[in-house]
Amino acid sequence: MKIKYKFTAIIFFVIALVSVANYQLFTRTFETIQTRRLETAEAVLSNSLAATLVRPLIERQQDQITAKLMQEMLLSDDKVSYLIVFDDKNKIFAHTFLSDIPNTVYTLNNTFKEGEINRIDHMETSELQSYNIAAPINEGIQQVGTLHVGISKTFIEETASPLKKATESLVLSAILISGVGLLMAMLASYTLTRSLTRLKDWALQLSNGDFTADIDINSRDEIASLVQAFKDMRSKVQLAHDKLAEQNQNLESIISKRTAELENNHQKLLKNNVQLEKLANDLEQERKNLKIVFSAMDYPLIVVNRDYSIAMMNDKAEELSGIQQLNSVQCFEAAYNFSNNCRSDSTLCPMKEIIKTKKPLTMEHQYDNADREAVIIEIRAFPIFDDQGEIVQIVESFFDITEKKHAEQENLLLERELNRAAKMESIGTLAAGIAHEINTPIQFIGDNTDFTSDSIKDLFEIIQQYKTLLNEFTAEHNEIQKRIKRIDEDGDLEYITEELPTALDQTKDGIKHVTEIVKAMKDFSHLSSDEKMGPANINEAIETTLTISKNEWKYEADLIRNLDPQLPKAQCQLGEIKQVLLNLIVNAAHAIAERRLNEQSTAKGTIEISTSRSEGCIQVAIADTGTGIAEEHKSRIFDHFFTTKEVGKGTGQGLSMAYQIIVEIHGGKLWFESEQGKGTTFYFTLKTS
Amino acid sequence: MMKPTLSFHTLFLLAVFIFWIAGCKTVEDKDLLSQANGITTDTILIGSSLALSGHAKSLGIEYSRGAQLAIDEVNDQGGIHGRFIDLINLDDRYEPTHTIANTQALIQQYQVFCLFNFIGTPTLVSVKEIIEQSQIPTIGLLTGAQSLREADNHYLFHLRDSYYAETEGAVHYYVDILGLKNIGIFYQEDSFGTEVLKGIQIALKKRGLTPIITDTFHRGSTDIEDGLKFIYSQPVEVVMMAGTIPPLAQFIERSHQLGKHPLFSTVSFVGAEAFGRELRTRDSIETKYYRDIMVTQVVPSPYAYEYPAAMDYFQLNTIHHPELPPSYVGLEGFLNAKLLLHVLDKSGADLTREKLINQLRSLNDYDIGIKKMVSYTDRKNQGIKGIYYSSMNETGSFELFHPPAQ
Repeated sequence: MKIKYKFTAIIFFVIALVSVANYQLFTRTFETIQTRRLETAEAVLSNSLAATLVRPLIERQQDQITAKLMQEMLLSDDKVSYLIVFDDKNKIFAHTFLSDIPNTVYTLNNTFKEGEINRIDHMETSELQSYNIAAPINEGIQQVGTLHVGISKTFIEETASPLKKATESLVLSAILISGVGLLMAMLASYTLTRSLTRLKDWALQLSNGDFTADIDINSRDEIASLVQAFKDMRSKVQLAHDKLAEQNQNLESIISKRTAELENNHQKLLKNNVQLEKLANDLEQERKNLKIVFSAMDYPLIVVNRDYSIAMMNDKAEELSGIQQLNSVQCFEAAYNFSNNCRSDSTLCPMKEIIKTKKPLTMEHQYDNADREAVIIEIRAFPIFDDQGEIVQIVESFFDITEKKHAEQENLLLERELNRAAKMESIGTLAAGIAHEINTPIQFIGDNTDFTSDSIKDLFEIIQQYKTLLNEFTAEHNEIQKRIKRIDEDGDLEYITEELPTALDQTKDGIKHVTEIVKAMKDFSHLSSDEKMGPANINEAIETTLTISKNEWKYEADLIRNLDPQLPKAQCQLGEIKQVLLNLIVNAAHAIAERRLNEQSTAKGTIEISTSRSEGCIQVAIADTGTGIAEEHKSRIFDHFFTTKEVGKGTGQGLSMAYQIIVEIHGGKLWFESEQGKGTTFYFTLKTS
Repeated sequence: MMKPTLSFHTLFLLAVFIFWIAGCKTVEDKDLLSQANGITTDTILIGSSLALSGHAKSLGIEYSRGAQLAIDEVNDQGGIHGRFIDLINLDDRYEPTHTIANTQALIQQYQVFCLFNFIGTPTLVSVKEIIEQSQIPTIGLLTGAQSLREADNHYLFHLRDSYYAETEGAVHYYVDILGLKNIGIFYQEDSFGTEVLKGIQIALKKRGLTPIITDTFHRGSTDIEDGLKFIYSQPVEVVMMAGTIPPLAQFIERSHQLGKHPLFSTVSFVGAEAFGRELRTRDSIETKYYRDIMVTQVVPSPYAYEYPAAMDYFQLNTIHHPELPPSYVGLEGFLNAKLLLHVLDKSGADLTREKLINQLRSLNDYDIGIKKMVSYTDRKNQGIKGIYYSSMNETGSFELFHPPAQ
């Protein structure tokens, strides 16, 4: 197509596009205004109306809803053309149509997308011309029905009529402008394209290889300069064309010579490669065989070079060390996770020993593994010699003998414990015997004291009555009264009346106290390891134990009892638990004593015993204001035979036994919180019945 | 024809241009973060609006008492950076209109530093805008409403988990564990009831179920006779409820009088101890049915000794109020105060609302003492997760239980 037509077409097209766009914009604005009005006012009203219909709809109050719809319709003048309520089964439940329901209504859509609170549709059927606002009737997230509100179309259009007129006049003016523009465009494009057409013809001749053709244009505008530029280009292109043809020929001969040389070299290289590959395969196969034998051993095995680097290790050794890559791994890293050379003064180095003796060697080695558990291993090492009889490598194998060692130690412990138990039992029997012997006399002493105390009170009352009577009869006999008074004073009756009951009360307290100690001794000596689990009152157990151990703590500490009176019974072997309590209380007293000694303090410390309940268990806490536990001891205090007390004062058994009893026998928990210089609190829990 | 059209066009374009310019030049937000609000050299003023009378009063009384225990403890030790915490409690009777008035008074008249310990969903929803506009941090709220947990609530900082979590837990127990399907819902007709209703509907929907029947009652009313009849028009096995003590207790009592014994449940908001005390006075409810009444909880039992914060609360309550038993709601108030005190302390001596808000939004894994960590971010205003189940025991108090695994 010629440019002049293109120009014209483009300009026409642009004008048409602008007009259409403007028209569209205005129509859209018009629609937007209508919809916005619906959205802001009517849709919100519809939603709030829908909210009031929830309960009546659920309770299916048809009359109530119909009345509500009718009232709404009446209030809205002509704005609302109809109101319909559908129920959750998409059946019409109530409506405002006075005559027949139009068929269109049955096609209304009652489903909503998630988050959609209302929807506005344009209804244009023979029966209904209106905007339909659909609003869901929701209870929570559940749709129980739908409200449709028809907004009369005439009502909406009336509000927008001035805008519509403006749109129409705009379209008319756009048609006029495009007519004038079209004429002007045609004129301009004709003058512009005349010279261009001639230039085009000449360029066509050039492109066909005709460098001789010529052109003449007699004007001074941009087209003339364009023609001159074309002419210059023509001469330069002709020159370059000839030179290129000559160079092309030279290049071709050089390339063919080089290609032949390269092919020759390539063949030689290929031949070498095949030989090398075969050698490598053989070597790899041998390595694999060795590795298979090595891996088959079920204990860790490493081969160590003289510079302590690892030459080889089997799967078990990899498992032990967690090291996969052998590069630059030293034997101490692989075997013990050390980062430095083993110190010769603390650890016997198999490598050094073997170099010295040139003989195989077996040794034991103890270290902490990655989980900080003590591990004992047996190392068997033997040398590998080279042709000159020099040691080049050693082979080390490792056997974990931790359990074996522990078993040996445990046997030893068990034996000691049995001895101790036997001793305790005999002491217990003795205590029980003594308690029984004391119990009998104490009982009648107690009974007699009770009797005496009561009798004394009665006696004093009798005396008082005598005195009242005497007073009545001797009112006129001064002499007799004086003598009575004298007798009273000489006999210190007043003093005796006051002091005797007090003295007896004190005696009773004393007897009660002795009884308690005896009872506690009896209770305590019942301690026996094959005791049955049963529900027991831990508060009582604490009281008993406190009585027994009173001597241990009463000079060192004041006691605070914080016992929960509603504490449920705990399922336990009571004797064992008393033993634990005793150990903890005695430890607390010792800790306080030590601190007082250290600080030269005269003030007493405090032991606080608390019991509390939580779901499914009870908790006992024994807090002291003693020395506290040193940080480095914290991890070991439950170990057997670990003690920080002076020699002869502690056996190191108390806490380990407590741990055994609480954790292993009763399945409870035992733990502590401690701060050095402030004190320690031990806690344990027991399950309730 | 052409001239008037052109001028209309020009005018229109000009108008559009002017509107565009006006739209671009927004009014710059006033910085409402006041430096001096509620802070003096020796006090920090904190404001709270909650129900201290009316049908939800037991909640407000317990909540504020729990918080006061933690605050007094800190004040006794010299306050925070030398300042004593002064907590003002205003009574709103659980009525939104009062809450609005109280909140305005706290911000403008009392000029408190921050808001704290509000109670209730409709009450908080009504002051949501005021809080947002005043940019005043509001911490520790007795509501589980999801709408108050959305990211557009920039100044609310919840500690407890939501009603959605509680209803999901309850439905899990009834449907997944007990295998019950006929669930009815009886709820207060307001934003609180609707939140709980939605939570239950969502949880049921997850399991392919819907409530078998629902009904409502008005806030503050005990007129539940119509609802009672409507609910029992269906064979309900469980009635899940949302409301305050009087209507719920009335509903349960009337159910038993009619010979209906479904399982009952409600959310933590009810205040389990007061609920239990009330139910025990209703003689028509036989003791053997007590275990059928469940309350989901958002804090552990105040008797649960394994939680250090519960133990602290229990001990402080026993020392200062030996005659009053501890409660779940009290513990929640106590924990809210612990959180408040912690962030106040971290905000430093040179305290501003901006610093407090920054501390809250960057709070990460703060151990509040119930084996749960409190964290907030710019988009998450909910501190801890997880719920607990409690049912009424023979003595009328609600104790925790652990439903068996499925």
